[in-house]
Amino acid sequence: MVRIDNSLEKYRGKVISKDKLDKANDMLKTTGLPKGRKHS
Amino acid sequence: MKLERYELTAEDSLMVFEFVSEGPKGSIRKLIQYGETNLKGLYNLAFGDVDITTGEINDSVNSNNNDSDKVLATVVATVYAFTEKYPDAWIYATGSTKSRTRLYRMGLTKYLAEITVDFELYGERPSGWEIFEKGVEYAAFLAQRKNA
Repeated sequence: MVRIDNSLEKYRGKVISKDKLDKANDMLKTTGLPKGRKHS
Repeated sequence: MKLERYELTAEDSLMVFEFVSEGPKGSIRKLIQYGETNLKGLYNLAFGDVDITTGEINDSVNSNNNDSDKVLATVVATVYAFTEKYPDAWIYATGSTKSRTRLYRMGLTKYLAEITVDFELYGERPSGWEIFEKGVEYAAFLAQRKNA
């Protein structure tokens, strides 16, 4: 059960963990996603 | 997982969640964000403490509030809620340090049987992504709902 509080919207587009986001984007360039699974 | 967890608040899109950790260090507001990456459908799981004076998020603090299992169960609950809304989403998670990544691995290992009922779970090795296994060190983790 999740209560909705739209005051949290201010965090939606904000980069909270730049290091981790950079790692995720680097992973896309070097490793990519696992093969054989559905990608959007 | 039917573990004790904190009550969650989220905004409409279920990309940002908040809860309050309670323990010996007091009440600490925690934020979980599923942040967009350069690939549509891949989200970076960000997690940190909310500074109550500035509203900024600190993702490297170790709050030591003696509730790590309850926090982990709460984070997992957000993964369920998020992937109910976005069933095709991939969730990428890593620690801010090696020791924190190891901590996440220990948490995933502890509940691996339950997690893998509903999720494909991968660990990142230098050679690429592998199905998550106990006892293997990984740099990062990736999960996707099995019904995706």
